[in-house]
Amino acid sequence: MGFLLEYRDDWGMIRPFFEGLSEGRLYGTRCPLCEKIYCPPRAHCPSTGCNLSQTEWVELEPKGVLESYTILGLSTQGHIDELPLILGLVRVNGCSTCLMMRVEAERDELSCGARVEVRFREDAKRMRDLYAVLIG
Amino acid sequence: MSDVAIVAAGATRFDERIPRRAEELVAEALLEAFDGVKGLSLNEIDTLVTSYFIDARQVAEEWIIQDYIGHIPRAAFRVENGGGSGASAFYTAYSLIKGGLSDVVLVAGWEKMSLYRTLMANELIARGLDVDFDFDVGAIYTACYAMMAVRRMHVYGEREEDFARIAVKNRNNALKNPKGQWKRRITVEDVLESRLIAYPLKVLDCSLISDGAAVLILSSVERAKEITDDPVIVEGIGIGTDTMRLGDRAEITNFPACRVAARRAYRMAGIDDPVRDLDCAEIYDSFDTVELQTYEDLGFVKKGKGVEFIEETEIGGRLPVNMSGGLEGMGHPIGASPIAEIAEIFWQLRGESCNQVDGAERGLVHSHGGAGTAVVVSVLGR
Repeated sequence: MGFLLEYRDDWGMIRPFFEGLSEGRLYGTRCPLCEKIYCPPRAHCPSTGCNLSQTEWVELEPKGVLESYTILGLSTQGHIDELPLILGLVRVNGCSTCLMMRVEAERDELSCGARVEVRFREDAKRMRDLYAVLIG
Repeated sequence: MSDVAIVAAGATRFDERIPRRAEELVAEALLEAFDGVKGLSLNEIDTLVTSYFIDARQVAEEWIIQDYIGHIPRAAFRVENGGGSGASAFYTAYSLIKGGLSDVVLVAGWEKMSLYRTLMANELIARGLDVDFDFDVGAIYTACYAMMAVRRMHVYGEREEDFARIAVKNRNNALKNPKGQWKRRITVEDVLESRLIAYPLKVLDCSLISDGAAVLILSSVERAKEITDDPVIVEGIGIGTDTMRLGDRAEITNFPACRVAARRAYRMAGIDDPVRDLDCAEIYDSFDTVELQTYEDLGFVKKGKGVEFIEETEIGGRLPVNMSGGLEGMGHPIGASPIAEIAEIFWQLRGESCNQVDGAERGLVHSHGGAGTAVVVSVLGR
């Protein structure tokens, strides 16, 4: 027994981030008070003292650092065919937070602290359409 | 304000598949709890606080439970906090008694994971990740813990063998637990050779997928004297929280939420030196790495030195951990697991455990939801 669950996406106030993906552009949000840059973006800043102040969009250079990674032997339904899949936490330069994304690299090249570039598949729409590659 | 006591505990066996409906499992656990009390009838339980995790097939499942065990028309509700739901239900029950709103509270948790194939079970748990970000890239929960472990290997030089030692200890402890799901003695090699889930975590580094239910009955200390000769006192309790997405955290080697929860629980219980002041602990080993990280966040050992503490957590060590087998050995029916952990410490302090720590008088229970998004720490004593 089972049922098919379909739902609609609603990106809310962070829609510009997802629209940017299809143009091959990476956007984050910056808090005008504490100046932290968030990517994944947040429409409101949760930092103490900022009182959920509204953030501003900033375009980010698609480069950063691989803070950590894993090689998946198991994933969810939509990704099983892609195993083994490498996922990493990428801190885009200047950001306070990291994006979890795919990494395309040889397993023995992976290391914490490696420099990476974020790339976009054609007509990227969602996070799964982003990936990081190692750069020198 | 009255102090709060646990007066009874019960749990079904935990297993891959138990041919019972959720409400039948809860009834079975409740019957065990009632076996251990005097002068208490079901209708004297004024409030029921429930916990389960997976909402995919039946929503508001707690309404079936409250009806089935004859609790209607008295107060009942569910508490949801991911894998920390059961412990958060316990926290709520404690607060209800402490605040004077309730006199006798039943905490009941359950899960029927066997309703789903393993792949689907993992997917349903993974939906507790941010579905627009981490879930969308193909992450399962194990991936988050794996990235924490890789970071620790990088910063502290830990090895897969270190993690495996904890899985071995917990699974082998479960062999003494008649309610435990894991029935085979294992070695570090078995863990290292088991199937990859998310590097560096293999299937034997991970907790089990289980059916089961567990319950606790709590009351004021005054009322407890009429119910049992051997109540266990809730000396301290605390909850700490963190971001849902791992990437949003300033720290991924450890669990800041655990340190917040422990600080609160220790302050209430008057604990200065946990290794000296505690006799045993149950730690939420959803992955063996969580137990390792948590030794540090609970203050058993300094940050980055967790590996040095593993040998102290064997029975006979300075502070035995997961005598029941934990989530890796006893099993992990999500909504029930934290309640079963509390039940184990309840039995330890009464000298009734199947894997007894001699003379245990004070114990700690740690539970954890998300990748450390919600952490509950409780200190129980005599």
